[in-house]
Amino acid sequence: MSEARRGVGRGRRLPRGILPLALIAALAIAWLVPQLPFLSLGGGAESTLGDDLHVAIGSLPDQPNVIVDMDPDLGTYPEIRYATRAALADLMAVGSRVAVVSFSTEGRAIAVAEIARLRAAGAGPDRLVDLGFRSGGEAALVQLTGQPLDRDVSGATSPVLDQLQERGGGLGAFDLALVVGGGDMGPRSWIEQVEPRVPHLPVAAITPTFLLPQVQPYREAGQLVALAGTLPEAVAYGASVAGGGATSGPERVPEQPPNALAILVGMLVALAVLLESGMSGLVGGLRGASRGRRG
Amino acid sequence: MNGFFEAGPAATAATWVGALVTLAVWSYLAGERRLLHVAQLLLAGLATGYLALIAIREVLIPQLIEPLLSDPGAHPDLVIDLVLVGILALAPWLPRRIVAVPAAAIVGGTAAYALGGAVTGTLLPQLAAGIVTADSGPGGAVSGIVGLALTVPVLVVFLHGVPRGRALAGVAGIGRWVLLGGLGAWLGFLIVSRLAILVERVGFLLGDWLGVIR
Repeated sequence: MSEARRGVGRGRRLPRGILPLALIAALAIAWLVPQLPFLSLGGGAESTLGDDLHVAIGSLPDQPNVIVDMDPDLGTYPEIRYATRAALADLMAVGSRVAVVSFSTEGRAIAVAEIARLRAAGAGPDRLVDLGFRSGGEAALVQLTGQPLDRDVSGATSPVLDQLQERGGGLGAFDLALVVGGGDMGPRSWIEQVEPRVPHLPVAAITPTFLLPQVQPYREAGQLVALAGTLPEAVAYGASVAGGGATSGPERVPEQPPNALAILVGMLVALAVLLESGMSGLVGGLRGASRGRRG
Repeated sequence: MNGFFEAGPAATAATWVGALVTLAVWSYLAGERRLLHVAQLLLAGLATGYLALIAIREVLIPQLIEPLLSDPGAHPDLVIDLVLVGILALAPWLPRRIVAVPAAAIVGGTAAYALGGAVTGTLLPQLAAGIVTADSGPGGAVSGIVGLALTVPVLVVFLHGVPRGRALAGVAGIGRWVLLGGLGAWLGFLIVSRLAILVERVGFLLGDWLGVIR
């Protein structure tokens, strides 16, 4: 590369970090701007985007037993937190007895926080039981399929577990498994290890967007009965749960959905960066070819 | 917004810690590496400490130590477990052949579960779901043909150790482009995922920390 060309490159270079900081500033402005009614991540009132999970939970029998596997990772949980909390509120609203289990330490940390939040909101031991952390990854999941669930994490019994014992005590006593994934353990593990062993247990999932290529085939093949795998689906689902009108207690969706304008701004910036890098590569290539012909 | 704490000193402290650590990580964008390094060390230390705590409190004590102390004779399997755990804990000082026993059990068991599950839970059901039946109509037939036309070249890409003729090399070339297209699409999903997290963090700073938005 010639000195003159390097000099031009240096001259055009922006100060370090200015683009990411500009992106953060743009996102902050987008948060501050009042919400535009036509800009909705969930697709508006007529949308059927979030129906999948809402229908699956709504069609459960009276006072269903639901096992929730909390195994998101700390890095991606903020993306699915809204959908997860909407699902927990939805389960509480239909009168579910919820048992929470984790197979990863990050998932356990998040589960502890969510259980504490639900307890503070009024979910008592007759509605919510903490099955704790199970070590061993997929081996622990397999163990869970053949193990009677008669003790919570502290070694005590609970009304939820007593009710499970009346129906057999194991995973077969549940009406639905809701898998909140994002890390190594997730919907794939449940489908591969639990479904062949407990085939009548329906599995639903909430996952970050980047896992969609992995989990979408399971949904299309019917191995997952419901999936909230994208942000629009999560927002639409949260809106339909919040539409139930609960203003307090564990049935309330406790937070606002992600800001649609900020997401749009971020996507436009990402698109601009991709186009800019693509165009500069193309222009550089054309210049090189042109020089090669002249030289 | 994070909803983990009701109003009170704990919520205020947690919000401040969260905000300051977020800003420490972002300081890297302005060229400040030391604060990011401190944040990384904090994360690694907390994660390791939490892992140890969980392992001791929720696994070793209730599932191994307590049953053994209460009635050792009733749990001969746990004695074997204790020996294996002990070997792994003392791995740096023990001969490799002894450490290999629990290590092989872990690796072999994990691989067996993963392989068995992949065949019975993913491969066979997905193959069954991919079969186009007579009642799936023209849309299903087209979808099946497109699926086949995309899947076969990608599988050919991974056909290693087999002599490739010109036709097979051409199909593998198409497969590489399909693979690249798939990776590109996945990268797009990843960008959207990461963007959502960044938007959430900005919202956290503006809402929970600064109280500018509600």
